[in-house]
Amino acid sequence: MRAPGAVSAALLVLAFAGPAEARRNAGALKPLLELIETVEANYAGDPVIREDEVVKQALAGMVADLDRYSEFLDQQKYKDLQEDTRGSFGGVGIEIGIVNGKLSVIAPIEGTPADRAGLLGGDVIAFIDGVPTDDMKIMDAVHRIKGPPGTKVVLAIQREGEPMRDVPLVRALITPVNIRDAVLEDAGVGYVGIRTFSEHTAENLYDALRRFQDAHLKGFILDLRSNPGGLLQEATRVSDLFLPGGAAIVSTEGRDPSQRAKYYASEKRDIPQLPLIVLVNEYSASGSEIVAGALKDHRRGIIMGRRTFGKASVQSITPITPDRSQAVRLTVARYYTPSHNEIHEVGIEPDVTLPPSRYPPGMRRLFDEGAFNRFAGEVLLPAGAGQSGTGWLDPAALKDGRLAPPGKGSPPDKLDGRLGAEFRRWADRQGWHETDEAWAELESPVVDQVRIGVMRRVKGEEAARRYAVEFDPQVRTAAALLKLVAPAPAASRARTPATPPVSK
Amino acid sequence: MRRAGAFFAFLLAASPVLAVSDSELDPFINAMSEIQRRYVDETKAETALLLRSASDGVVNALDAESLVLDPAPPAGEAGPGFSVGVRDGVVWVLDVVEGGPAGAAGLREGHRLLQIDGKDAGGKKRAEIERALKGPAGSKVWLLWNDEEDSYREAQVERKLLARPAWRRVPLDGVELIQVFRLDGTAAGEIASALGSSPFAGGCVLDLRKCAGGDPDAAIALADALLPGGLTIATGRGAGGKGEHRYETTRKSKPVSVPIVILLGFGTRGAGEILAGALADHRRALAVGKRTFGYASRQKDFPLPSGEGRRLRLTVERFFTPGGVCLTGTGVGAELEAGEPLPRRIERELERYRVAERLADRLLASPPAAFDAEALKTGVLALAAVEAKGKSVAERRGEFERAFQIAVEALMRELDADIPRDALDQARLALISRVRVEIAGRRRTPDEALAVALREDSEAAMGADLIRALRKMPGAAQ
Repeated sequence: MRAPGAVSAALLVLAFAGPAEARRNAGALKPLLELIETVEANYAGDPVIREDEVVKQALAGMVADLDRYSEFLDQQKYKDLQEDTRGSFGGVGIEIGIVNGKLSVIAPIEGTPADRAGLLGGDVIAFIDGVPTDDMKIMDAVHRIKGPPGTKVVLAIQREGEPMRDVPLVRALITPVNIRDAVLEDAGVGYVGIRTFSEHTAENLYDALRRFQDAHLKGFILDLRSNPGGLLQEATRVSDLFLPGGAAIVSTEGRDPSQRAKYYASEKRDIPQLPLIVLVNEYSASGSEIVAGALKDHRRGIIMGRRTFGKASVQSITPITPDRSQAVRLTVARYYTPSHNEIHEVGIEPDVTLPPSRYPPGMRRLFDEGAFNRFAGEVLLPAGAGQSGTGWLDPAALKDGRLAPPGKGSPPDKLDGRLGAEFRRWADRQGWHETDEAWAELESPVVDQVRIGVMRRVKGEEAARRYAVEFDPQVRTAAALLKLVAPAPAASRARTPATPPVSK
Repeated sequence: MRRAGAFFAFLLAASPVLAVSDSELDPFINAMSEIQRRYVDETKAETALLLRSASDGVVNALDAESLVLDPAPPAGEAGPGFSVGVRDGVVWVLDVVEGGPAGAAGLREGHRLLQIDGKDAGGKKRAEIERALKGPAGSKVWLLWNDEEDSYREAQVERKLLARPAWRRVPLDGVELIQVFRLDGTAAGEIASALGSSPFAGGCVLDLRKCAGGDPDAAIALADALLPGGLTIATGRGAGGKGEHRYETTRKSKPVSVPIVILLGFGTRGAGEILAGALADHRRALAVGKRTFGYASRQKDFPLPSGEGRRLRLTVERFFTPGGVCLTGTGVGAELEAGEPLPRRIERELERYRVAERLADRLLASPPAAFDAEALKTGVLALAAVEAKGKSVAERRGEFERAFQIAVEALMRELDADIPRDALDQARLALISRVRVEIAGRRRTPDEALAVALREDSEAAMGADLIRALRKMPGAAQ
């Protein structure tokens, strides 16, 4: 892959810019210096401002007004940022972003405190520990939410159509999983979900695609829903895996010549180039939009879902003190798809627009109560994993975490009906009553969640998440579409793997 | 008392003109040049824009009273009828005007204002918040706030022109009460001379509960008039804790010596706190009510030579009580607390069903036989004279409460309201007070209605009782 000028969306460290050239500006600084000196000589209020802080406040104010992603990094924030890039961190397990001008949950990370507390993508975070988020920078919000595991943070959550409520969370050690792959056996389709573009993402994707090779698949689903972006380099490498050699991937444009670059796909072809569907939603941002944009422009895949977020800017970090203890993060470039479509504020329109995925109203309560896991444990598997508490489940299938009727006589949908009815009886006993009308809507997603609950009980969290992919309505739609467009499996077309396209 | 002008001359002379050092400025210049060279949008990298943002950054880090004042006129003078105080970025509701739109919407002193027309109020400058609340009369403003139980509440509130004097005098069954809303220089002079006049010789209740603003010098002047010479009124501290200044009372032949009870509350802020701190610390007045808000400082405007008519308003002095307590953050405590307020649950039920208003409506429309119909016409809720004849005070009181209880129960039956009986029992006395105030408000002049409201107000009533008790003591002023 050719890439003139290595640019990273998150980290780019320029040589320290010395003050000599900048001195020319000093004469223009008079109005600001007047103000600073008046403040330093006269201000007696509370909070007390130390004299050496006044210039920092000026600096922070200057950078903060540029855009949501630009920020002054004082010693602590700069250190935090460098630590953050190392992997795990203490937090509550949500990705956040600005949606419609409001700080919002993009997605909770499964199995984290935020996930267990029932936070959802789209929830507006109105206050963090009582501090309003109206003018808060993303990174400021991140710092307030992150902290040592075991400590507490309270988020005031405003969900559409509901009153605001405080959600107390205890921070835990969060290690984001970046790639999740699964084979949808029934459809003969490979699924890869990418959470963020961080180090090794493209490499892990390459490994997953290689594993699929033996499965004789009809196509791939690349899931970029709620993927907020990450490293530009990784996003281009992910695009590279699906595009023919020489194809343009993305171009970046900025006033600074070093930020003007065009990325092209490499010539290596060692993974099967099968039909591809890319799932996106309104929270797919930045790197996700690079991948979706490139694949859409080259008609390499069908983009399916909701119009994407529309964040197409590159930030770079520059130290501003000789000891490199303070820095500024500035937006220095925008990116454009190969056909030079504007992504910024516009997003990428999918080829096929899907309705927003939404559970029927009663599901939220059942999730909040942990109903599915409890039902799986208390009713179906009271004696522990693999041992059914009922006579109407196949013990052999249960050992794999799956539900099937014993023997061969009854068809699977009859089992679904029985599961639904049992669950409803049990839920009634817990005091969670639903009308027949509501239940008609609930039955199908409830049965899906019960199956996932059983898998979680028997095979653990990660297996349950892979299994959950099969029940995702948008993934199902994509798989059904692939079945229509894809020819019969042709494993022979895949070439022998050569070296991985990603160098470390 | 030394003049404030003298204090500032001292302050400016004592502080050398500080230059920002090169090493402090270098990171700023580096960042600025980096933005001008590389920031993606050239139009945002103009020097004037960057410097404006930098100035905002400096000012935003200061306290909520310090800001850059634009010469632009405000959008209008009408408001929803309350003012605010800001502490640690939290915006507190103060001085809710009786009968104003905000009060009718349920806003109370001590609630926390969160949003105005969808924009966060927290972290904003106080003057900016007051400005956002103001507008043309008849226009509406949407408010989101936390009540005393931290529940989120919202309302669309109309703006009204609410003209109110800086202070007013309310005679209260033989005791003079002065309500102060704004302690400025004129008000301080008028109050000082009123207190020296004969109607006040028997003592005065000075109600500072809704005194949310004013001028520190006015508070110092009024305290000076009420205290003998040679005492500390307050201490002020200037920039960097330097320039400490003691404000002292002047020697005088005869300070105003009438007995004074001051009423304090969460709505007492700034100048009112300076006055309260001086009077309480020197035992010149007895303080009834609750602890004050806790913010007292002085602001001064500075011209910005290159600022196109803009001025910089800075907090230049913080005030301490004679006892050395910093008013900001601590406030002044009351010596005596009047009756406990109703539990919030009951308050809310009474409010939701508008029980007091409805009872007043019913009693006025068709007075039950037990009540005096003629008295009701003049705005007084009393037992019918015939039945009251020849009975002891306790008997009459009991009879009155029974008659009231019957009226309440009839109303509840009609409303089919879900108010538990024990709640009504608990609220009975408060409810009687409210119905009295409500009826007075409809049938009497505003001044008379106000007097009724204050008589039914437990803190004001306690203040008046204290003054009456003082008068009976041997050697008290007559």
